[in-house]
Amino acid sequence: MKKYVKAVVIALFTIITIGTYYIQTSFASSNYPQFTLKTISGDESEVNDISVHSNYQIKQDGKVWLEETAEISKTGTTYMRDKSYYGEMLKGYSVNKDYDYLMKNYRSFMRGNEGDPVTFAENDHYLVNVRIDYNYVSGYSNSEFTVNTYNKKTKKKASFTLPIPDYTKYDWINIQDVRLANGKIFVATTNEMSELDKDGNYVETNYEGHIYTIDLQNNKMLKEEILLEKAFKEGHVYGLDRSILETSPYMVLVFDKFNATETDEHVEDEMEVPIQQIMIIYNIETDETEVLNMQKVVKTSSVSYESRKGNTVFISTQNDEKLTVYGYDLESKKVASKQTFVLPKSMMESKYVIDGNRTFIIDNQKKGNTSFGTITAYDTKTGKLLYEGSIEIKGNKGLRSNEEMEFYNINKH
Amino acid sequence: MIEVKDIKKRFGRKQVLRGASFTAEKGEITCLIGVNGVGKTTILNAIMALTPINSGEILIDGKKLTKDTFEKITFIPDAITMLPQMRIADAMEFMRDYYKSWNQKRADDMLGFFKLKKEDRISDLSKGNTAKVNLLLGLALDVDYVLMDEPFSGIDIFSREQIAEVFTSHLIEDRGVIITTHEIHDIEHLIDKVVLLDEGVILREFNVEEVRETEGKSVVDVMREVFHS
Amino acid sequence: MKYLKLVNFEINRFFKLYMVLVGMVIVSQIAGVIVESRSFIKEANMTIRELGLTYTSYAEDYGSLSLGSIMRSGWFVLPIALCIAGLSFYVFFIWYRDWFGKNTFVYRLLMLPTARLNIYFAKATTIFISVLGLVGLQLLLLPIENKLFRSLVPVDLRHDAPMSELFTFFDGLGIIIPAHLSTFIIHYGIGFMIVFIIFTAILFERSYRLKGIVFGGLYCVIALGIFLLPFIIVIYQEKMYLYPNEMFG
Repeated sequence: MKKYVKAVVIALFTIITIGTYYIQTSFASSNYPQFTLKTISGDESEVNDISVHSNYQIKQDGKVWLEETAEISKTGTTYMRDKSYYGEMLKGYSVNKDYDYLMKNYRSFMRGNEGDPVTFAENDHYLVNVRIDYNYVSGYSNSEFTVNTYNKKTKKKASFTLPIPDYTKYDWINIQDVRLANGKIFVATTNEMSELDKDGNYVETNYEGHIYTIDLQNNKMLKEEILLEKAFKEGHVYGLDRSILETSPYMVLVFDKFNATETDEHVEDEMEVPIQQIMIIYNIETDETEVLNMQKVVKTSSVSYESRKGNTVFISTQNDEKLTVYGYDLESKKVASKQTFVLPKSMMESKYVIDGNRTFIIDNQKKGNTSFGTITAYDTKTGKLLYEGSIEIKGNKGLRSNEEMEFYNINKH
Repeated sequence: MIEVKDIKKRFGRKQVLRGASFTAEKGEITCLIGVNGVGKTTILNAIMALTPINSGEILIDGKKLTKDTFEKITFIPDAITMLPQMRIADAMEFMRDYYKSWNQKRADDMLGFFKLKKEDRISDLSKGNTAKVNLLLGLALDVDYVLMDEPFSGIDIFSREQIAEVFTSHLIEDRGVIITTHEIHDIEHLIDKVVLLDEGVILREFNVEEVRETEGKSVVDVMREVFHS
Repeated sequence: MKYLKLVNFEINRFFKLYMVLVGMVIVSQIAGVIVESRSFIKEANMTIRELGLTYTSYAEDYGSLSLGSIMRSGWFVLPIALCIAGLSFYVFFIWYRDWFGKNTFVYRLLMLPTARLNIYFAKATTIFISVLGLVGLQLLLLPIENKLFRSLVPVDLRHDAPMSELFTFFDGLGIIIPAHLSTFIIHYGIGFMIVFIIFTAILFERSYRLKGIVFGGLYCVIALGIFLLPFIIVIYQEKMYLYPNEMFG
């Protein structure tokens, strides 16, 4: 046995050291401070999907010596380094509730079909996905739509492509929303095109809003509707996200126009005020289009689009620490609700998040040793306080003098 | 019995064996004779599955080689197959460790016969003594067949005599031996069977005794006849 | 168990070289802690005497010493790099040494009355044990070095870090000693898979020489290709055909 000593010693040494280390690390709780949300009043379930994105620092001689991002939620604090990268990866992505829903229910159809959930639409019979494939290897082309369909009854997948009319006119086509109604697929896009002068030099970018209607039975393009021709120069265009789980006959596109000449040399950090803000509402059932000037609708110089829930679009205006949230009803075409919330002075920015009917506000005002701030949840439409919670550190000692915890923003998952 | 059946072997473009066949019986010393580079070592390597052959078949007691065959057959190459930093004692321990057929008493006997010291490092040994250790490590195995590649080449005259003496002793008795050489003089009187090899084929396979009795020719006579014709 | 005997045999053959690596790591890292600590204290004492400072005020003005900064120095990084280089070299040498010189020991190995695959696995096991042994050594050394560091540098001049944070000090250690067992298994799993691929390629070369080099090279490319296939598809198709957890499957 004596001659096996070396091998046995090395093997045992290895198993013991590595084993001990990983047993220790798996039992040892994180060395970093643990925060959690402590209910002060209201229903705790309101903050089930809420987390505070934060940054933890240990400073030494005025320099940042160690830095970790952390997520604080009702269930506790998760530091990046305490997460196993592969462990997270193996769980799969969970970026978005809609995406989770699609992956869970249509795993095979969703294979290789990743993309923005707004490019998917579902009714009782079909799940469809419309995409424009850009091939970065062979150079991009945006000449056609690829329509992938899944028949829920027969469980059959199908796919067809349709040329995009006049595609050469556009530099870029973005799909903003896809809907299904009456055997037709509606695809809302924002199309970009460069305007050139006589010599072929670039002048500015124009944007258009389009609705393409596709016949699901015959795989044919029924019509193309230009909602707003060359509507905007030098602006922002986007669709408002809606959940695939909600049914609403309205597709919404939003255009913000900025002053083209001034943007070239605009002063940094200064918030640009749009000169015009337009919301286009298209009803897929009646084929009606409505163009609204939002600045006029809420009588203000600039609005922010917050979120959409069913037939309500939430927009906000901010004046110092006063946040006014309007609920615009797409059906009645009226501002149905208006509530004002007071934002805390202490946070620099990202003080709130509006998730449809709920408005969450974070305050990082410390109280005593253990409370590092509060989170409040309101009903967006009625303004009623639904929840108030304190962001508390575990133990009663608080942070050491060289430690710092900074809240960046509040997230709704 | 070791049966070599029509084996062919190519190294790159060079055809080393072009269908060689012969047999070696247990209890006999079979000598593979041919000039250098004629494929003798390749045949031994092929029998031990140390080199892949392109076609043909080799049977040992009617069976193909498996891992257990190595308890029945051993190969003593022309250079020692032990780590140079090992002592003779280490080498013997290594053999005892892995081979059931290792016979320690026989090894000790040979150690005494060759006047070798257990404590000596293999790398410090003279050529002759290295060859003796090599032989010892092979012959101390209780195996049925022993293959030896050029056991006499490059060794001083006294060592040769000692080694030749081994062939007449009980160490070889009852075993089947295949020995290669390009030079017959030292062992002509020891061998039972000769296989003459040239350019990858067997020119002649004959029994020494038989040829001497029926044709009145010595091994060298036959060789002269075959190679010069 | 001939396989275990062979493992033991291979470890014994590597033992001297291995002990050199082990010794180098221990000596260099311990020396690093001592030398760097001493020179820091010497410098601090000189400045303190000249300017009439206290330890605390010196630390405030000039900074304190942490084990982390010593770990980023060549005293730590070089021996680790040498160990990696040494073991990488030995992945090849463990085979080729058996063919070197007049004593072609490989004949003996190939003629052992055991499955030849055992030789392959014994050599692989030796590499794995050696690699993991060095990882274990580093795990054992760090707390010792931490103790040594604390005993050498006065508390006011040093900055202490908890053990678990020591491993985050430089990125290399994060790969060698990841924070999670699952990550550890994946890192070393990939590493050992590469060792197997290299071993097989070496045997191709040894069996068929020149033709074997071509075979071996091709084999490596194909093996890595299969291994990376999910990622290659993603790059070329711009689509995720496999869900992330299937990539490993």
